[in-house]
Amino acid sequence: MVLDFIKERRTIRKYKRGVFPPREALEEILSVTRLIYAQYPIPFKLYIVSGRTRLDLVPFMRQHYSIFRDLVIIGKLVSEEMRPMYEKIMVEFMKDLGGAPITLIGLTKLYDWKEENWPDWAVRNWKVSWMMSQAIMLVAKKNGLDTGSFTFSSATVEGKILEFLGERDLNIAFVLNLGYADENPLPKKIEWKVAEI
Amino acid sequence: MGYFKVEFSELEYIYDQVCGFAEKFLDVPVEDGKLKVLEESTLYAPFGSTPPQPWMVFVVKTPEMVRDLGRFHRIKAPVIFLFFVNMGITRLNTLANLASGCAQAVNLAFQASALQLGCFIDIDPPKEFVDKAFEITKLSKNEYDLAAVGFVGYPAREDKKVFFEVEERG
Repeated sequence: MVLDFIKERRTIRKYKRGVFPPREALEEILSVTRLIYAQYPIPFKLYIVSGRTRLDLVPFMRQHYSIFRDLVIIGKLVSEEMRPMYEKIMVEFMKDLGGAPITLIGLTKLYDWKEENWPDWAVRNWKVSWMMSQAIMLVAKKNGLDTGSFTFSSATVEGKILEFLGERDLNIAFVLNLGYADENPLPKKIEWKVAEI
Repeated sequence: MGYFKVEFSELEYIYDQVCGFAEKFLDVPVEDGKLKVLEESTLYAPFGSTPPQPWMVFVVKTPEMVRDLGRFHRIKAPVIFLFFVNMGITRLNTLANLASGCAQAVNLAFQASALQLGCFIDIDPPKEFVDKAFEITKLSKNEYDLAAVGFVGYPAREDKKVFFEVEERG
């Protein structure tokens, strides 16, 4: 069962609008982030954004090029016949970032995106944040929910979002949509193997 | 509707009560069938870069090799997973790959729990351990970074609980 939801997790770009996850699922998601935090304490805050606030944040978020970059990368993986449908989905996604009822924003202390060499503490904070993100995605899937992440590596856009949230000292580690999928993405083809020694 | 914020610095540590992570393991081998399931679980993490394969996962399971590598870490377990990721062209690529490697490690911890196994994830192991890991895998430090290490085995403490109710039996 655990392996099933690990394998079935997909990055979702279109969500059923207005369908909110049950409170129990959100509480379990919070619990698992606390578990990770307890093992790996770092400066961390999690914003759970919905409703009007989410709509206010969307214009900031969709400015960022990394979303366009994601679209281009994924677009290249889509077959010719699927591409028109994919492009339609992506145009819809850009309107309000998929219409997810909830967006989670994980904040931690990071380093300058432009710097090649990050100090160990910043790399650690980054790693732990993404462990939390993955744990959230798995617990969401376990509860029948879907997720889709996008990253921010633009200081300008990140700054605007942080200003909106009233945060001064932390950076954005991840942004994660949460809701019920209104699409059925292609299954992943995994051809990689684990080496045993 | 709006948002609410969780201040993690204000939370109490709840690790001892409910955490699925383990730090002490029994000197009992992990069955091959369970290992295969664990291995498969590590292959399905999100990745931020396009193919070719952004990571390399090694499972160190032969007793001699585990002893050899295990000398350089405080955690002693019968199986060690090594999550290497490609160094990207830019720092951003590398960070994305490191995130994927850590996500793989989380998959491992969840799956281990479901198989009644314990798991300890180290995301910044000692330098000597890292050096040895590169030596035994023959990977180049110019091409790869060690994102995380997963120690797996049967937990020594019987009262350790798991992430989820046990839904699978190996």
